[in-house]
Amino acid sequence: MDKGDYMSIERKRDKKNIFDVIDEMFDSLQRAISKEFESFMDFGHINRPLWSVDEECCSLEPLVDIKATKDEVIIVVDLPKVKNKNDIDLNVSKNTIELKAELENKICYEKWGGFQKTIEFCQFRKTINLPWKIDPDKIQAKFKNGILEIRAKRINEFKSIKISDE
Amino acid sequence: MVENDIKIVLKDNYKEVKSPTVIVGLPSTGLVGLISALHIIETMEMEYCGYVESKRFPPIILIHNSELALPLRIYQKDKMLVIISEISLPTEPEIINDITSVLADWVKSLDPEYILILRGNPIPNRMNIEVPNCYGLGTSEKLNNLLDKVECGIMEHGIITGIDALLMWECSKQNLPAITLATDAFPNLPDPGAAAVVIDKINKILGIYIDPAKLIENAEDLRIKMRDMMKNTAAQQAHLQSKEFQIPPMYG
Repeated sequence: MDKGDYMSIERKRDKKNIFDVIDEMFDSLQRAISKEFESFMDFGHINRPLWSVDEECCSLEPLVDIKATKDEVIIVVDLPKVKNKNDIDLNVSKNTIELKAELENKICYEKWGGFQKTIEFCQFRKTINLPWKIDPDKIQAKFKNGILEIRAKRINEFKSIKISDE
Repeated sequence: MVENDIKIVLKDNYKEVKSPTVIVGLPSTGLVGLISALHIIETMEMEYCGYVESKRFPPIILIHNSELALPLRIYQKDKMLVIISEISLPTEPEIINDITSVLADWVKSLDPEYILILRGNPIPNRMNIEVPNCYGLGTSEKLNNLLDKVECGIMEHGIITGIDALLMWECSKQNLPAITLATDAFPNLPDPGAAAVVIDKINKILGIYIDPAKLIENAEDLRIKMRDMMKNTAAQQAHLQSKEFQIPPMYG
């Protein structure tokens, strides 16, 4: 794999300012609430739509395929109409990846769904909650033909145990 | 046992033809079969000529150009028939077995020249492959020779799942001339690139020309349009797809 293809990933750093700490606490609370809401909405047959309507800019939710090996978590994200790796923002923590990607051009639907209203989308947005813990310092990402592949090292929480003779 | 209430309804515009080619493009891995079939319908300007209905199907009716339509439909142009579904079909064995036997019986009554069943083959490293491989398997030696002639690798070992697999089995049992074409694809992302490879193979098998270029040109639009369909298909067929990564016990 060409090393030049990998993108740098922005990570949240420790903040010293008290207001930053408070901001971070609120962010973390908001993420926890969204995570709970998301898992509630994904439960059973309640399917969330793959889009959301925001005042500033409506968002599409990208398709995501997540797989894990013993050492790695591999996340493949479909981002058609995103042209450049610089149009993608990634923020990572030990068990969450926040992704935002700007579309090259706005996508407009004249008669959208049951509402039959005009709607315009300008970005992809998704918070990916991982079922495994990853090391935010050991992540690589590659973007090719509108497909983003993120490879993250898993934090190994297992300890080997020796079985005694008796 | 529930009575098989699944029936094929042909509309007034359906024309009986001798020895047609039947193409089946149902939602599965990478939506390869469905994307390929929709491309054929659009390029050949095929006519909507029938549908499949059952009380056991999900209560979903589509609206196309202000017309109501059931999701499992049949299209026709001259001697070609294409069967598609715009929803992921139920995976309960009883229902898919009933759909399969109704489709196989109907197709048999047409005395088809070929039945082409299009599907995706899930591979984990699709991102690194420019032109995916397409493999095939026919229900007779003659069909496998044809696949060989068009440089389509023959599937030797593996596991296929879902309604496509059952339909292939039913065609084999009834000595129908069926070929399954499986193209390497993203397991859970729509893959128009893989569909373009399928179109190229169909052209060679049938000696026709359907331009695959539009599939590549419109790939990004298709990937956006197919997101919901892919999400539902992936969720519904996950337990079956995982088996396709497995090696059968009698391998080798």
